[in-house]
Amino acid sequence: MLGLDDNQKEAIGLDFIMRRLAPASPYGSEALRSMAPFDDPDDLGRCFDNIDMLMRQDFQSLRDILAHFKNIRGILGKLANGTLNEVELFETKGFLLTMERFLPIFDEINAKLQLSDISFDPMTAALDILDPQKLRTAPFSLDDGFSDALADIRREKLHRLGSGRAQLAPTGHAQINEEEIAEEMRIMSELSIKLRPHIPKFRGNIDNLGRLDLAMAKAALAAQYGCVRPQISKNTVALQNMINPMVAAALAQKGRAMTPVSLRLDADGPTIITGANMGGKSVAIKTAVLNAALCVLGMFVFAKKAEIPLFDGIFLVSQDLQDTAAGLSSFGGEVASLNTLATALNTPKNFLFIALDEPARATNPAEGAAIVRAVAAWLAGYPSVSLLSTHYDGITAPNARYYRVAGLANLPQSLSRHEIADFMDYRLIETTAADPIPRDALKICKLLGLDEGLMA
Amino acid sequence: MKTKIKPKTLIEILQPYNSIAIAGMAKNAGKTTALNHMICGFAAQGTTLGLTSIGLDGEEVDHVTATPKPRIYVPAGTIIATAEKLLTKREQGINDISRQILAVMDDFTTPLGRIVVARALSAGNVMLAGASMARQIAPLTRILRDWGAAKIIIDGAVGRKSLAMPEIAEAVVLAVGAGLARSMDAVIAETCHTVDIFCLPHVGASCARPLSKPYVYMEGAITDSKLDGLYDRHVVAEDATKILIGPKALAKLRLSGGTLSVKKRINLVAVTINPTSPYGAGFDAAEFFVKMQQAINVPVFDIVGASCARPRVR
Repeated sequence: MLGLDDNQKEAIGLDFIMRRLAPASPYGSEALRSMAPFDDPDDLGRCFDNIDMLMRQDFQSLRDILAHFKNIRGILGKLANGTLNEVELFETKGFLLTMERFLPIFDEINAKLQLSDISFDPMTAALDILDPQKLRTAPFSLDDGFSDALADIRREKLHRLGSGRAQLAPTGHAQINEEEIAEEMRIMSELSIKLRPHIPKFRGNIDNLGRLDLAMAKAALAAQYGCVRPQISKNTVALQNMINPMVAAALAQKGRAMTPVSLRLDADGPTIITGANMGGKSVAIKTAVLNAALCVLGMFVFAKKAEIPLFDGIFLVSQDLQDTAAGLSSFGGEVASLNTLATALNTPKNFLFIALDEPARATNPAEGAAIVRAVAAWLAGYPSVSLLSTHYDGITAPNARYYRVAGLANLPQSLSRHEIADFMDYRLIETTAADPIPRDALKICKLLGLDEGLMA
Repeated sequence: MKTKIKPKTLIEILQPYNSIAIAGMAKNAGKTTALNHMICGFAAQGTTLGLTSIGLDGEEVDHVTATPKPRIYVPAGTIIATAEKLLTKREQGINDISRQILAVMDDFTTPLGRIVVARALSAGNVMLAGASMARQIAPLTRILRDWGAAKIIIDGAVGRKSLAMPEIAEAVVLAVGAGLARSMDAVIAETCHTVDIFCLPHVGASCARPLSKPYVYMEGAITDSKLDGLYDRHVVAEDATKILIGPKALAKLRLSGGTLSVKKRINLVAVTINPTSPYGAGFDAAEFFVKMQQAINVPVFDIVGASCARPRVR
């Protein structure tokens, strides 16, 4: 269970990354669509091993051949209890021919890579059913080779048709046509019966093709963005110089670069980020959630170095991402998601990653601060990993870690809103609860040119 | 001194073209008869044909008028591109060629499934339902050639619109039947107008007149009402299939000093006629042929009557 809804997946930049995974085959796309979080750290480790190996290898030749596979899932479904027609037999043969070409290339590459959980069964026996003469060419026909009876019928048919040149609607060979059609039906049924026992092999290979293709797509993306393999830790999240590629892409369009941020979170207490408005607290939270989600989905992460445990669920509570369709106010929506969270937290043995982006910010400061304090204390009572940001003062919790946004520095007298980013230091600095909370809001108001009278 | 020149046959006229499309003016125009005539003629020369269609054809019975339809009969070796469901529905007399499946076009879907390319291993009847969109024709033509077809014939559906793009084929044959209108004169008048539009000049290359008046390029369909106020202008249409104006409007335009031309020319090379009608007695074949021949400046062929003519010299 991921615990993130579609809005959140989009907002944290997970969809941005998913859209950039480009499998070559329909089976890879299928594996991508049904990508689920890992629940066994050993499985996840082997998935990472594969990506690791594939990142060191040029696999263009494999990709090229994967792109030739067509989706025959529907055909296999029909084959399970029916008879395939000529076109379906043609497509099945096409799959098997591609498999024949694929296997030696895969074997050669895999001799070096030794990929885990990916293996293929040769299907030459199945191909021989559809290509008994072993011509190994793409066209398929129910030809004489399949039955002597058909050969006789075809000879007779050609004899009756004469030279084979077109004449309008010749008559007199209706019966031979009927015989041919009947014999062809019989052969199609026979071929289907012979192919049927191979269905498990077909499906097994298809699943492996999907896994391989998806692993290659993950490796290609990781190589393109310089992602790293997260170390699967026991219960600490350590993200060094992490980046959110979606935010980075948006900034790049404005000619800016994203400041990498680092965070360390422990299961024994919540981590609290404080800092100026416009200081990137939300981005830091979303980026942490993104990387935790990528890890559990078996992908490398966007950081210099990362340690992430295998979570049973990842939750993000953020006011600007609440589902307003439910008819609740933003505060009401937040309360509702805290309830969902409570249910998940109270499920035995559930080890969660919980991120709250400025909880209770929509309510009045006195009560808001009290609520955040209560939430922080509540989270401290669970052995899950939690991260929350706030601009309220004096939020502390047992065993908590504290970060603050480095904030504004070296400021000139005035500047436009667009330039604030030039002076904002988005780095997160680990601090203690005793550190003064930075007071940048007034500075920012002034810089944004807020009316003097109002400031006085 | 007059020398008698033997008139060219339809096959001779079509000889230079690598791709030919055939369109029917209406249902029962004799389109399939003309198609079979062409297939037979080219097969006799040993030419490997590639066949496909726009829209469904080759049904045994015409669904609109419930009259028996001629089947499409191909020689061995013909490459066809047709819909999966039609190809796999085997039936003596309708779909009875021995065949080899060559390719399945996953990206080319029709209401009857994907388009499948197959080679006829024997002569026999086929059902064609190829491209459902005109833009699919060019890639289909290419794949038919890749599999060895030397000449492509595209069975267009009924109506000029089935030839929605001039790039479909190098040459077009128009089939006209007695079923088009009540009287022979009406059929001929309507054919005349259609041929007139098909033969409109092509801007640029064939526009001899100086550009004294500005050209008005009209995107999309040109109807009588859209021509209002433009009767003395040089109106340019995308191609002939976009011109939906009647003969009166065309005449008015010409009388007012305007012209109508097309950006892309559809190369109409012949008209075939079918004197029989599904709705009644039909026309006298000889009279229909002669009158049609006099009315239009395109070679006319009565396939069943096997008459043929060369273009009338104006």
